[in-house]
Amino acid sequence: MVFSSLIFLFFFLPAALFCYYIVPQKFIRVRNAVLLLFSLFFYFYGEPRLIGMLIFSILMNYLFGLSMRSTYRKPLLILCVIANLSLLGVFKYLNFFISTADSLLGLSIPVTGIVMPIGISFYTFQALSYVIDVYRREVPPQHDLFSLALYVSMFPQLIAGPIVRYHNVNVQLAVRKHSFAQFSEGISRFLFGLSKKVLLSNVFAQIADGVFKYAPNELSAAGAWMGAIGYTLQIYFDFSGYSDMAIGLGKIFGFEFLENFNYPYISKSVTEFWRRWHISLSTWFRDYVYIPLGDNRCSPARHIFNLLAVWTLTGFWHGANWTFMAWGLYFGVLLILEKKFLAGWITRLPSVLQHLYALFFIVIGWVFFRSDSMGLAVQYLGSMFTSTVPLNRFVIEYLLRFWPYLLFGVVLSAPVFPRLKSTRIWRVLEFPVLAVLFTLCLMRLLASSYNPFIYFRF
Amino acid sequence: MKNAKHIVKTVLFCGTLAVFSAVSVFSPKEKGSFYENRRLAVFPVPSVETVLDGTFFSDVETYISDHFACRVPLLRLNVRKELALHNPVVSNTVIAGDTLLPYHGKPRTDYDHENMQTVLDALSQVSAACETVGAKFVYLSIPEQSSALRYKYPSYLTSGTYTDNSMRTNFLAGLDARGIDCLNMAEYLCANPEKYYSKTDHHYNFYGAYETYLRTMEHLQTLGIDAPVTTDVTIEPIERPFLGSRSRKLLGEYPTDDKLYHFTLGTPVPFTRTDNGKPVASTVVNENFNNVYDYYMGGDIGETIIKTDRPGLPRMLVVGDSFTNPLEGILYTSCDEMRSLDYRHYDGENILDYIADYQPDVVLYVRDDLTCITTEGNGTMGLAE
Repeated sequence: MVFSSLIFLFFFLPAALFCYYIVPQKFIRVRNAVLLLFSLFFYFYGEPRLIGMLIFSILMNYLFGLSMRSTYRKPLLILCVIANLSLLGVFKYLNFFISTADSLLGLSIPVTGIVMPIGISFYTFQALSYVIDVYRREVPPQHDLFSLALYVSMFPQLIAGPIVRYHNVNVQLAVRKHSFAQFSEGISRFLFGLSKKVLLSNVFAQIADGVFKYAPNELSAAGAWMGAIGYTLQIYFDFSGYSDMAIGLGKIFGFEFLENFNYPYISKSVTEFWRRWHISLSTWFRDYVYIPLGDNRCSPARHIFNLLAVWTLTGFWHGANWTFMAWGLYFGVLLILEKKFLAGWITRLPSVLQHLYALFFIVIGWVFFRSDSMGLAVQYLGSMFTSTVPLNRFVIEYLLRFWPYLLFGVVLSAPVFPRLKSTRIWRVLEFPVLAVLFTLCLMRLLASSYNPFIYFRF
Repeated sequence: MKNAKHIVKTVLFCGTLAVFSAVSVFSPKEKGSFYENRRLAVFPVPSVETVLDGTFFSDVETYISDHFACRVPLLRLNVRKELALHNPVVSNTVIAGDTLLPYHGKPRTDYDHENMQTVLDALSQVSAACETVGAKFVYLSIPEQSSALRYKYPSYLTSGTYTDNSMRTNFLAGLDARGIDCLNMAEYLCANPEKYYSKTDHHYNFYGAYETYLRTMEHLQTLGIDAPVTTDVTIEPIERPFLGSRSRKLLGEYPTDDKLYHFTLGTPVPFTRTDNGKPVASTVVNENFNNVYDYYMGGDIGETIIKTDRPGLPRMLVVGDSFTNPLEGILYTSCDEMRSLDYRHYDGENILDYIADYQPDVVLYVRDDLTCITTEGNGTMGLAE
């Protein structure tokens, strides 16, 4: 079930709100139980056969969490990490490893029929962060199985993040305030996220999907750039829209989740981009991989190795394909270049050029992310820079069809809205704007069945 | 004051969700969608299997989307919004001035060669069956509206010309190679497409059908079939809104002066008619239609038999889909008996057995040039499987 579906908006959400808020605030455990039941149903709806995997992961990490007080906490932590990564490895990466071995070594091992459970990357990382935080004594182990189950499976962030860290919500699981102000803020946030997804991302998806349907050698340079820029906008409004909806829903149910995006496309460097993009994932890798590897408090060679390792893993986390690994590695190399050589040079450039520099490399990066194979990615990049194909007709078509959305997309990629929100006029405009956006979303949802979230496959 | 604003927003939001969900659940359910020309989904019956494989939930979503409160007004509003933004493509329909055409997206680079072979093989069998009973078999190739009016596409949108042309050329060559007699109506209808075609529907209009009738009779004469040709026909527009297939995709929101045409015979030909074996009124137009597709011949029907009781005239069998309806409305005047089969609805004998049993003088196979290689229904005429 996706948030931008009629069944979620008009059936699941009202039912969850009714059952949750009919329980008096003092019975927070009962409210948690209601939220847990709805969350499990939410997951069951999307992945009926594999809900057992989610429950198994919760139980396993609950027991590991409790065991972090024992004498053997370190080996148990290692066991916990191996167990979690094994689950991820089997369900997400096994077929990739088999097909890679087949092609590299000339073997003919058949790929398995294993299906990847929705959201496994997200809930595995959340569960791991809990056990590691307990191991580090940053938080006490959770004795209440249902509270831990709720932390891992809470439907607003279950299948596409943000990756909520246990130490950020452990107190909220036991005690949290509910107020009209927070609820109302949650509504606005949710509706803006919904609008980003339904009104903008789905339109940009038409551009990107339309262009990526072509073989790279059929594309003119302008056509290839249009596809790459379309995808750049699609993935931002898709994922940040989803995060907005998750944060908004969290507020509606009394939780405060950390921000996941901070206008990444206004960055002036790749380093800054990664401080603003998918913040919950990059901080996860920073805290649980990069710092334990030695951070930058080591030899320059080791530092470079650490960065490359972290960014390769970041890429690989996004999917079992060489393209994702290349995407991660690409950013790893860029970050190393910026840290070691380019930082001073970039900051001396005029601001506009700094933005263009960052955007250029970000857009190129998304080509790896969007392409089905490395070969296609390289060919696509070739078309962007060296194509001699005459201008594709779709370039004019898409500009004529989607210019208002492209305009909105570009404008809303910058922090225009926070500025508008701080003005007086917003007090008058807020209700009508929200009503219009909601109606537009409803119209679009009814008119179109094109509604998959990109991040569901992770 | 600030808290009051939050309370109002919360109440409005929750109220909107509650009202829409309540109305969607408790309002009376329509069985069909007028604009979409289809049945609406019924609530699925769950089973362990459908719940576990996810089809139950996806069927529930389809049901909810089909029966959602204010669905049609909201869809209309969406179309109006897109038209107001001057979007050249709305609901997969290209707005080409006063003409509506299908949107193709990426041009196809090829067609299904296997399907073409299957259809040509089926037609060969029909041709042979006709020869056995001494009947003339004519393949009537009719350009579809977007094919005839392809020059109306804006230059930056694909009209599907390349693939459709190669498909059409190869198909006609395939017919020729098999010795199947073909009357290619493109030569006549594409000479003046704006006269013969609807602007907002994928069919020809009655002028197009009448021209097809005249050319068919002329062609049959060259094959030695002697039959009177009805030429005293008055064609007039019907003063009712015309909602063609492409207009339907825009929920009738695109203004058009397109018309449905009524025709009157100078000399009426009396006849009796049976549909799917049951006697029905002796008419070839349905004046009380709700749907424009029900006007000529009462719409798509599995088997229709019209008898004019003039034994000296030929017995004709017409096979095809909705393109046959307006044509049949006048073709029967040249026949002793005219039978019409639409294999999308007819589930009796396959075409070979039918020809063997009926022993017609003429078999007309009517197909538009875009679906000519489609293997379902009339593509294989009950011969597949």
